[in-house]
Amino acid sequence: MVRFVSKTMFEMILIIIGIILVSTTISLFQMKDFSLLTFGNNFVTITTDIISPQNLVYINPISDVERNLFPIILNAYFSSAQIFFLALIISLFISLSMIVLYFSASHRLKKSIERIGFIISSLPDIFLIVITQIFVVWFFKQTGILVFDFVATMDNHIVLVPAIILSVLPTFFFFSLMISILREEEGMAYVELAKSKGLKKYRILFIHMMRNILISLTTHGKHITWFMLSNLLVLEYLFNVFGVTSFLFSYNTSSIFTVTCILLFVPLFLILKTLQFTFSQKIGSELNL
Amino acid sequence: MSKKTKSILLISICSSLILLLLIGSLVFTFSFNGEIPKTNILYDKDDPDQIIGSMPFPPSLQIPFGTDRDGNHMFYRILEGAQITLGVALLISVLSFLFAFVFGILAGFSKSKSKYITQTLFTSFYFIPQSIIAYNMLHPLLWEPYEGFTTTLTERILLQIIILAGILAPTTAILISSETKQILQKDFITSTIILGGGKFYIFYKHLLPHLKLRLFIIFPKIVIQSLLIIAHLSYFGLYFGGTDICYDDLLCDPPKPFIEEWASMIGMYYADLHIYWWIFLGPMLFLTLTILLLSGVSKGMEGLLDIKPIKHVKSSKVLNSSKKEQKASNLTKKDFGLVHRS
Repeated sequence: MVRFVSKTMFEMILIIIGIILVSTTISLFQMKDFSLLTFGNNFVTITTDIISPQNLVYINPISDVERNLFPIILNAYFSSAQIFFLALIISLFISLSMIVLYFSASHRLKKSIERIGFIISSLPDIFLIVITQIFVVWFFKQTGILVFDFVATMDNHIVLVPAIILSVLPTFFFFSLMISILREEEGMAYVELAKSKGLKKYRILFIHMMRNILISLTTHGKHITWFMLSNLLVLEYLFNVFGVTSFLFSYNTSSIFTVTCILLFVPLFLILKTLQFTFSQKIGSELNL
Repeated sequence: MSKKTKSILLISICSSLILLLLIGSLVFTFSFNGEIPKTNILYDKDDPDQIIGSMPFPPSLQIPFGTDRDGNHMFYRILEGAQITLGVALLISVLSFLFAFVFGILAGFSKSKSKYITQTLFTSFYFIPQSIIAYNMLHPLLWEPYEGFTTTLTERILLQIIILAGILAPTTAILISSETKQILQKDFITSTIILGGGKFYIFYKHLLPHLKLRLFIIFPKIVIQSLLIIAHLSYFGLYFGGTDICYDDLLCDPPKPFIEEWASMIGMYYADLHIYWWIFLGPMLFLTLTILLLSGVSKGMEGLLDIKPIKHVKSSKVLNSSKKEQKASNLTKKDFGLVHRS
């Protein structure tokens, strides 16, 4: 336990240093000055800024008002976190129910479900966002019912709609991943044993296979966070949500960029590591997330 | 149809469609000089003096993808843009693939502590969206300053390609290095080392044949990623090759791209989405189609990788054939020989 925690801390510090290095490199591009001296200087400036983040100021790009970064970024941060985790929960829930449907479908239906799932999961995020917007406008023109506001304004926070759109791609990603894991599991000896004991099909699926599927799913955790974060960025930009990603654009300083990235990274990393720890305690083998 | 032929069919259909798009675009540019047909006003068939519509036209049977505000046919604009978008995406992915391949293989072979540290440092790329790194790095290069650009168009294009390739490389390198590490842990590699095989020998004779197909799966995914990054950048207002901004106060056009290609069309016409939806949706559909085709190629490659070398024969067939063999060969006493102990 102690060894695991210390190793995690070490990894976390290394990744934070990696983030600082990335934003230092970006700052070189912004100053158009590519000398090692500037690199060192910027690195030191950003690191000192991060150690005392309460002094950072944020300039609103539209109104040019200067504010302290810290209370304001947390508001944005929580609205983004809401969207992100809501999307994650929705996609897990839907993909799990889809896998149950898939499990009970006939062989031919399975093939076509797989194909549709593959096509949807490889659609680009921007296409999905735009298609939803077009659909809502078309629906509004036809019936006069506005299903949802798809552009956020000052006093109107939208969470559910971006979360639903954000959840589409992970849902199908989870789904196709689960299908391939399910196939592998179906051939395992324990499933055959359970079948020969006369256990019911769904009992085997829910009680015995599901936990193995969920554990295998977490090994892709890093990849999932990666593409969900990049989808979140575009989504918040196009929906005009005041989220944490608006602090990442270059009209802010590189210190703000770094702080935002660290804020995004730390909770996700801790969640991944906790999952890794609990699962490795349970199944006895080391998972590398 | 066996799984192998299915996979090969999928790969060949998808890749030939992409090639067709590329070749069609080149042919259009070089043999027709890239002249885009224009329709400004449509007249009624029966009464030539009666005007029934003016630009921009929505999609119809005569003009399949509609026209833009100046009456240019969208289909030909999209066709002309295909070569640049696809060509650039391919170039970026080849470059980044080369970076990632060299560093990934080197990292996979090395066993030192420093490798763990560099790999963890590069893991930070998983937690920062790549498009935002690209945006922040390219903004000073591509956004026209008040005094105008100091760089030429070719310089900007080359720099953008190199920077995007550099941004895409780290995650791919991590992927390749972990694949390499997995193969190097197999038993036959250990026996090669015991028999005295050098590192280059292992790489060339043992690693590459195993890694080859996996690399073919990874490559289309990098192309998709680079297409997406270019598209994201133009949503954020950075068009490929630079954004032309006019700083005069009077009579200014909105920021526009220097080069006609899909991503910049998508980014530029997003504002028109709810008025002239077809101008936006045409290039978007083609981009989506290309991405689907590329993931089809990657899927086909995965299918090829999955095929097991051992053929499963149905058990009834095995039984029948063994019975036949027994019948065919009636054993005689000659078939058995005494074993003499020396």
